Amino acid sequence: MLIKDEYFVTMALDIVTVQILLGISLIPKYGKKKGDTGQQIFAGMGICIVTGAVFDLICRILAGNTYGWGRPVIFISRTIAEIAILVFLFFLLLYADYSLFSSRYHLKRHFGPYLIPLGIFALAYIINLFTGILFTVSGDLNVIQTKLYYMLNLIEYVYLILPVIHFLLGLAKTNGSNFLHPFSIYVPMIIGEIVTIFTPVSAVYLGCSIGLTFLIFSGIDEGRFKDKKTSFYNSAYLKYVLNRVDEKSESISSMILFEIKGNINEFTQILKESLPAKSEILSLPDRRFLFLSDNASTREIKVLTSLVLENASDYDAQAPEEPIEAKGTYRIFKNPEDVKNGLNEMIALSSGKRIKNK
Amino acid sequence: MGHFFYGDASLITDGAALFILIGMIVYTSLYRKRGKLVDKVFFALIIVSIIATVSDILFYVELYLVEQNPILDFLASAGSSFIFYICVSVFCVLLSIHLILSNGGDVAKLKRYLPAMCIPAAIVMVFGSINSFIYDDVSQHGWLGKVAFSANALVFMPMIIYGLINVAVMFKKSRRIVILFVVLAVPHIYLAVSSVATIAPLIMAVYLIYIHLYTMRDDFYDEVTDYAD
Repeated sequence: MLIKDEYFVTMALDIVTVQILLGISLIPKYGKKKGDTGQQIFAGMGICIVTGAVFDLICRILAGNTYGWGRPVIFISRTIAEIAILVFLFFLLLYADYSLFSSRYHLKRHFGPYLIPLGIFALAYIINLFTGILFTVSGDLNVIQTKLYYMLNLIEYVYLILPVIHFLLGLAKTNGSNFLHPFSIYVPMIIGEIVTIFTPVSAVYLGCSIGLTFLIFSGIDEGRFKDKKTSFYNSAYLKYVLNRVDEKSESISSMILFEIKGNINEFTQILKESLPAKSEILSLPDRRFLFLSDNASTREIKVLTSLVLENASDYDAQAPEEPIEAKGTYRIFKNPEDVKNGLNEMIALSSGKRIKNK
Repeated sequence: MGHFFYGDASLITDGAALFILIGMIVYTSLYRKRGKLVDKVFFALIIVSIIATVSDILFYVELYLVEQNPILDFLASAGSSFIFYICVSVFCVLLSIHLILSNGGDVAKLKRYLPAMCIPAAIVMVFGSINSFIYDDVSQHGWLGKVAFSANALVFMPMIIYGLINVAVMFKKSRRIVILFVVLAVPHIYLAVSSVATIAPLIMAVYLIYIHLYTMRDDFYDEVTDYAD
């Protein structure tokens, strides 16, 4: 059997695509709950890409040979691979809709309009099976695309605009803090398309699979642990830190808890200006802020606490409409056990429970 | 599309690997905040893979750029190739360190196993160096060229061996992982032997994707991301 070099590379990329998606389906517990709509749509996207990659693989293996039975096999495989990409785009649209509105009802209401472009494109590929208006298969089993195919492909890209708009709206809604979320899937997809257009190798399926992988990775990226209003870390980060402090070398030496009444935005600014750059500052519920330090001395902690409180008083002295009444308490840890207790107390505090022994 | 040869194909597979690895640098930023030792090793794995990928890309780019100067060509291509072999060897050692740590091992256990882990990597490094510096001249004549050529296959051996060790350890925890590693190993060997492109960086990137996905499997992340949302 003869396999052209460029087809061999595409085969390698298709195999890697299948590997990545198998990894996703076998290893992680992505999504929040079993049967979650977002998770089901995501699974649909994965299945489409695996299907597309497998049928693309068949086309690449047979291309360049002259088996009599190969022609219908390639025709059907190519058609299935193209429809798989279409269905993937359709699922992407559903995913974008669900990410933005988080509503099954909204999804159901728009399901019909979303489905129409898919129906039209899929119909074109099915008609092509009998007429060859989009692509044909040559005697040596190579796929030859017509001009209409490229035109249809361009229109298919328009299908992508809707999810892009959805994701951009989502971006605006989340104040840009989750900016990696939409880009995580689009950037690999677009690069895959560019590679496919400008080289003899097809990287469409690999691009999509990397996009899906990055979408999962974005589930635990740092952005998820950031408070959207203040850009400080959120309460979830406190749990993350607690999960990390069991190694002595990674322990925390001290912390300062600020509790305020009044203008939260101004106090956020005061904290940013008063505390060292790249400090670990957490924004907790009920207008509480926590500063964690790895190596500050007792004296430094005392100075930082008074500096923040003084700056808050200075602000209040300007007689603003909404003054800040700030209170700061620091705590120096003696051993890892003490750190764990301190963090547990903070977690209890942020979940609204009363603290014992304090 | 013009003439398509080994270097072009390798540039594409390396480009894909580099893209995945840079993405992983972005998405694992959290691990670098209060990361444990195992997270630091994981970060080192990503960095080493990136260096290996870039050196491989440079190797093929140099073929285009300095073809006219034989001495510069030799130094540049052999240098890139040498760095590539060193990185692959270091990757193998780091991967096994990561496997030990992620399976509950501590620093004491690590110190005990480190010499055993370094030996195959050292072999790879020696053969890789021979391959880098004299492969071009001796590949057509004599046994040394053949030995150097076989170093290509050796590069992948520690990864496969450590992969199998991992399968044995993971089997106790989750049988699903076995399917995954079998699926990974078969095309890995196949592509390493008969591919028309350097696939090692891409496979290294896939290994790292699996490790990161496996880390995400921890219940803690489910719980904490629910809370964060």
